[in-house]
Amino acid sequence: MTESANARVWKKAGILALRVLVFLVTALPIYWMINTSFKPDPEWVTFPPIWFPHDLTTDNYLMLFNPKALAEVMHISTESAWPSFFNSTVISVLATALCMVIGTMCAYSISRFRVGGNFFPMSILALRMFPPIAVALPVLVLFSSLHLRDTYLGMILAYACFNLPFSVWMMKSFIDDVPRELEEAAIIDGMTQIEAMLKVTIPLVKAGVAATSLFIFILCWSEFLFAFILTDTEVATITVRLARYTTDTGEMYGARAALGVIATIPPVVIGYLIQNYLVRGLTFGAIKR
Amino acid sequence: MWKKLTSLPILMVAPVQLLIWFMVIFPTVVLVWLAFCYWTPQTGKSWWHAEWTWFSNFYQLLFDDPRFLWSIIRTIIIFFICISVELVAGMIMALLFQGSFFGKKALVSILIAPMMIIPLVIGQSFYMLFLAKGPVNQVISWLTFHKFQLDWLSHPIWAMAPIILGEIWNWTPLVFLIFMSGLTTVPQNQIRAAQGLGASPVQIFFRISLPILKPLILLVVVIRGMEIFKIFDLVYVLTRGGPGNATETITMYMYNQGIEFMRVSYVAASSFIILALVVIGAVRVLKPLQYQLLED
Repeated sequence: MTESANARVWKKAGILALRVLVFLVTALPIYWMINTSFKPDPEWVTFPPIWFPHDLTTDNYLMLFNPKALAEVMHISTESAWPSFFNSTVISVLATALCMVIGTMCAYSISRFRVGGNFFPMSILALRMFPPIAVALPVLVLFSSLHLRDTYLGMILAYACFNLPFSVWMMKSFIDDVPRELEEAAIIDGMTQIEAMLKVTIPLVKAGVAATSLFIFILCWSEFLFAFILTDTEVATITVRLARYTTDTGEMYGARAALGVIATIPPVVIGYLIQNYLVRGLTFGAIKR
Repeated sequence: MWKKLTSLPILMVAPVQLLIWFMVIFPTVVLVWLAFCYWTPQTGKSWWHAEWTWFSNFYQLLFDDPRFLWSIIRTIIIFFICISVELVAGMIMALLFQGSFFGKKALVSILIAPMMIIPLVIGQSFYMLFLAKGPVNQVISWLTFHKFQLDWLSHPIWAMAPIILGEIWNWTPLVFLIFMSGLTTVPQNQIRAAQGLGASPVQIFFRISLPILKPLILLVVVIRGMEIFKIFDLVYVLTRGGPGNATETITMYMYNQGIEFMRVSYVAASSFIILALVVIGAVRVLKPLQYQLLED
């Protein structure tokens, strides 16, 4: 009896140790990013690495948003990061709105009328399988001819289109959950099909609309490849700016980390808001929790 | 015919259709046209005046460009390593977090953080972690009691490690969440019956839980596979396909050829080959997914 009790203690200790290990592995890259963003210049890369910086500084953050103030002190000249935040916000918000409006209409049509049978919804899903680079290059050629390159409109169209798989499939999974009989009753009461959709079904999936919108916002905000290829200087997004820090100034780990931390805050905050819908979104509505 | 086209269901999908035609179908037509031509932006001609060269791009790609073929092989290697590690690690994590214990909710909330972080930022973080003088080497030194200073990112073979680990770190939480919600659907009375008959936990897992989770495993493979096939952000930040082209994935290869060297028609041909592979793959891969998504 004592032996099995012993074994149970060991087993518990083992499970606890594994849980702690999983936690540490998850936390390390996040911690290192935040850690570096508060380190002064000479401590960015040292050997041995500094795990707990003693003199914390906010210079890295100041450098991002008020580069002129620090230019003389640090002998580094960079541009302010504000415009990229503005661009990212405008593009993500408008692309999300466009994607949601047309995506919800499409999802409703698929859910209620089964438009295009199985083929049409699956072909939208297949958009996600398209390697974006294969489309990005001809889109670049096309946009250059149409003067859409490096404009808000071009980026919004691109993001709205390539997030359609998520908006259509996620909204379809929400609309499927609303019983059809509710609409039928409304139609018998004299509403048209569109009225029934707008006044009965959509209000019932309000939470779904909010979750899907925020989810698509995260995806737009984090997108890199299209932004990198289709923008230049005018509408460079936050991810493009992040990548530029890597290339132009090579060794500015602190400023990069600071920008990374700030850029990550919106998606993480939104991510936790819609925590219960993340899996549903990323599996195109296949897993409902 | 007209009446059918202007009916409500068709009108409601029209905007989506138009956007897809504009952003995907039409560019794909341009792509196919370019693939059979010789054109770069430097020639000064418009792309619709390009010189038609038939299959020379394809010939060169398939028989004279090992770099292209290697990028495909490399992507497949990344796919297999990432998928298997993500499946196993996600499953172990899900099993670790079964039942309720103190602080479970808080811990799970922290563990799912990686999937919300911008992949580019993850790349930067891993870049700093895997520097020759970085913390990862330091930890390895502590564990092995030897001074360990491998320059991961410029080693021809080990440069793949940060990329693969970054991808795994980013998306294992998703697999973990999927399996965790899957494990709650395993019927408890079957498990209790098996326990009563003297089955070990390992037997219960392989004989009862795993068969129930099989569709979820398939779902994970399909969904993660789709994304890993396109992997770019991490590669760009960590190595840019280097050293040499030791870590060049398909997307990285096309980016280098198309944007850096501006060989647009050549890349169009490679995209054409990749798209053909994707379409063939999509039909096979989406079948099981369709079963799961549409017929439930």
